[in-house]
Amino acid sequence: MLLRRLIVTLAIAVLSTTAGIAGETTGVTKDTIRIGIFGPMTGAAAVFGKAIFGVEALYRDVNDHGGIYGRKIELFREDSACDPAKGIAAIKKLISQDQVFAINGGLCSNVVIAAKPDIIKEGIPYMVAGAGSSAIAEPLSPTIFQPTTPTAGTTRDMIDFAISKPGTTKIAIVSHSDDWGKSNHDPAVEYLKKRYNLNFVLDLTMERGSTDATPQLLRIKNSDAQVIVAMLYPAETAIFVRDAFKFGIKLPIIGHSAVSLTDTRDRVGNPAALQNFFLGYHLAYATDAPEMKKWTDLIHKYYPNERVENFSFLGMGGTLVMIEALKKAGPDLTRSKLIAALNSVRDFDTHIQARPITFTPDDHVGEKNAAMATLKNGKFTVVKKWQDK
Amino acid sequence: MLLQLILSGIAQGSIYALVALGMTVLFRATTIVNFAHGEMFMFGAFVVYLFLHLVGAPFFVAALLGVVTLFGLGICIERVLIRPMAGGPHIALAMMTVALSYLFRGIARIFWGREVLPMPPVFSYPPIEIGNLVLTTQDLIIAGTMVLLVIVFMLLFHRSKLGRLAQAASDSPRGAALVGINVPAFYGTMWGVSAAMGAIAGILVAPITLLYPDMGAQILIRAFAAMTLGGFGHFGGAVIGGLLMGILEELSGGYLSTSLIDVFAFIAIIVVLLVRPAGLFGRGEVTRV
Amino acid sequence: MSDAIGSTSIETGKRVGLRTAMIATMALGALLALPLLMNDYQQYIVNLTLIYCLVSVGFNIVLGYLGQLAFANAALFGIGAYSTGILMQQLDVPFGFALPSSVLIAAVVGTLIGLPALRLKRYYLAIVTLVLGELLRWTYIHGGDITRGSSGLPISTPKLFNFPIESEAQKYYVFLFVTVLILWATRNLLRSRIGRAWVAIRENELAAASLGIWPAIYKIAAFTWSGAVVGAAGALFAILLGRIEPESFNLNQLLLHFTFVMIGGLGNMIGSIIGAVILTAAPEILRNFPGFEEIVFSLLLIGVLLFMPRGIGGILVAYFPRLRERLFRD
Repeated sequence: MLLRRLIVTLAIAVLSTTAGIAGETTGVTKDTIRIGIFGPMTGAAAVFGKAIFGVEALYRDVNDHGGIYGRKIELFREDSACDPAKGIAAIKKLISQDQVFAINGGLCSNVVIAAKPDIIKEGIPYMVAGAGSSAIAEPLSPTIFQPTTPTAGTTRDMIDFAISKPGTTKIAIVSHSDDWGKSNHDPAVEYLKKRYNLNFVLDLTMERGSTDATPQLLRIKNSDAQVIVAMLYPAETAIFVRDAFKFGIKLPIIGHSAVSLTDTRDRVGNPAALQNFFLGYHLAYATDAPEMKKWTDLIHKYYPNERVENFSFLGMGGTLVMIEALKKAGPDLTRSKLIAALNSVRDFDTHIQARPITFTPDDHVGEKNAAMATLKNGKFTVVKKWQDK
Repeated sequence: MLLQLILSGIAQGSIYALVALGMTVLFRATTIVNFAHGEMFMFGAFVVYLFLHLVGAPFFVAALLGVVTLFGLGICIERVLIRPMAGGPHIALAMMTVALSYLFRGIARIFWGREVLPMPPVFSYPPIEIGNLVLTTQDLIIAGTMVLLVIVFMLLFHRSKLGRLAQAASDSPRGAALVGINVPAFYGTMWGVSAAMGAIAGILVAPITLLYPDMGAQILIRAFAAMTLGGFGHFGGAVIGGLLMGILEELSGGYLSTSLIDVFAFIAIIVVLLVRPAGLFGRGEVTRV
Repeated sequence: MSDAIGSTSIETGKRVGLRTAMIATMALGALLALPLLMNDYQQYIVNLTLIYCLVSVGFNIVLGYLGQLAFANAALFGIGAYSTGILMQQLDVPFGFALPSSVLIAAVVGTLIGLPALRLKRYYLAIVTLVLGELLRWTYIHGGDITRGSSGLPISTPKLFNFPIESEAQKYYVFLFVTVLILWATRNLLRSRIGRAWVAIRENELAAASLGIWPAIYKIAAFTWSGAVVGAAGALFAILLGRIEPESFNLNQLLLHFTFVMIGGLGNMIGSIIGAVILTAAPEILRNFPGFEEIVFSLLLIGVLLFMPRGIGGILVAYFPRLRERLFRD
């Protein structure tokens, strides 16, 4: 009697776990599509979590307009806290417990890369929300799509922009020595060599959390550098720009797209210091431009207390592509059909990202270059070449 | 370049010294190392920022309010969190301060978690230039305040009655209580003073470092290095240690490699503690049986 | 143990023995059958919990039993992880050898930390060990091709006797084996003369010395064993994540470890296990209460420090006095 009960219990247990095995239509029912969302909602990188609100607002908007072929999108949000251990847990939960159809999320590259094996194993379609590492979409994974310019592209933008200033051959680079810094520094060195056959005249580091850039700036001042490329985080960029001004260094400084221009302007506090300051910029317009207003309003419709900034728009381009592909995949929705639809996206202009997005079966990096931003007479301006300024 | 590096080193070092001073005051008075001191520093600046922007108070009023608030906070912390643990193992006390530091950081993150905020400098005059060298007024104020405070505290602790009181209370709490010194009140006051000093440092330094919840953690390690170098519990040592740290960091960054700046503090601490734990000016510890 | 009137001690002994054996077998069966009931996500959390149990117990040896303020736990955890990673990735050492080697390396580092601990008192030791952890992290970041810096060192699927350990369930069995083995060994160590010596040193070092216990040797032994246990946890951690990066071994991690120990109770091995289980499972259950993790965590720790200094182990002891001898070296 006991033995029989034991066998039945075991059988039920085994059957109920096998019922959840990966499938083409996992997460799709007659009237719902389950989409998993993840990002750094807490912790030190929470500012990038802002992108998640933009992503979710778009999906909710779709629901408010009737859904896709009668199916409403059900969102499941998990927090990665920008920590691989937690991030892996989040992905596993979305895949095996929440059983979502597709995933749209990921701002922290280290989390996304750590979660890749699980995503690949499940074969679940995954649209990155802004994580920038070049190791995400290359080598190619059939189900992983990266809609924003990866670090290789943003560094190319910065170098190209520096060189586009007539007569520039001597560039100095300052970067953080951590993962993020290195992942921007190394491609920059390689690209400068390969494309322009040049080396940086100075290669310096500035530690995260530094409050002073004197040694770096003095070395630059004593060298013959004509332009400075700064692969630094927001606070350090502000300190660097401020100290450069303090020492009377008037060279153009080119900062990274992870930094916000308005933010730097507020922190440095002195407009004169920003005259020759340019930032990598991933959007098509200034954050306060009229073209961006409709997106800002959309986010506020569902998240009225959210302060909309630069990063709020970061993931929205990819989500627009995802929604378009979900529609294109037709009413008979399967994972393969979604992937095929994504692979057929050509020159999709999101009116949010700097350039149109293209995905092909062999190339899942949707945008290869972005733009730069600067303050032209105090006004936020998007530029692509030095001559545009 | 050498001179400018040394000058900036003194400026940086003064920041470390200022923070180290606050920690030293507490250590001298209570033999507790407050791992949350960096957060007093951070909180002081944030509170001032609040007064400046929410209430619209003028700078000096906001600064004063900030210092007073932190003084009160220090007293509260001692009363509520430290005093109940007085008899317990040192591990627990140390970890209490660590937990506190995380608590404050978490609170700051809720309000300001996603941004780094600017803070107005005490005076905004353009930088002073002497020949090739550049110095900001903020740097001067920090250095000046530090010198002032160190003199004040050295006089207080070595010459005045308060100093003897402090000596008694920290050497032998029971003995001090027996002769009528209100030891708990004294401890409370010293926590308040230490917190207030942290706030002063935060207010002066925030315009340079900018306000963000983790700003305390960065400074803390440097302050530890300063105290270790100079000898735990020695005021002059904390200052000299801080200045040395600042100068050496700048010099090694300028001439050797910029990636050394970060680790300098670590190496300094480890080397000093292994070779001569008493630091430059400290006395060796005597173990009582 | 015979307290039943009218029966011989052999009979009660046999009954007690049979009962314990049945309970143990059922427990073992449940543990072995666990993967059948769990999905991938839950299994991952269980695996993480096993790792943290080891971390917690290892830390408690130095913190609770020996009573030393050595904050090197995150560093040792990292050493275990990076040793495994480097051995497997750069030197192609199979997991079966990499694991014990990492344990050995971590134990050696533990010993090295124990040496200055002999001289440094209280806060000095805390600061030195804290700083050592940060220095190690700096080394991982700047380790170039050996540690792959901050982008992380990827670890390919480990193989045990040519059998790949890929799924969470497979990892579970390996982790379970290692964890049970180490915990069992630690328990025996704590009950032995060495364990008693640790407690004696903690209570009053000079008195212990006067009893003929040479503190230095036992202190070093504690650091060595702690290093081994935490190093093993680090090795398993590397396998679990499949990728290790320096940020995983920072001060936040140390605080987590400390909270495990304090919640469970200083000097209380079962408590440490309970602490690890609670603190790993709870955040997952509370997953969707965002924004307050740091605050909840620190409040929890403060609460424990103020009101439950003996940790959960202490509470258990209050309710089950019979457990006192088993749980506490008091």
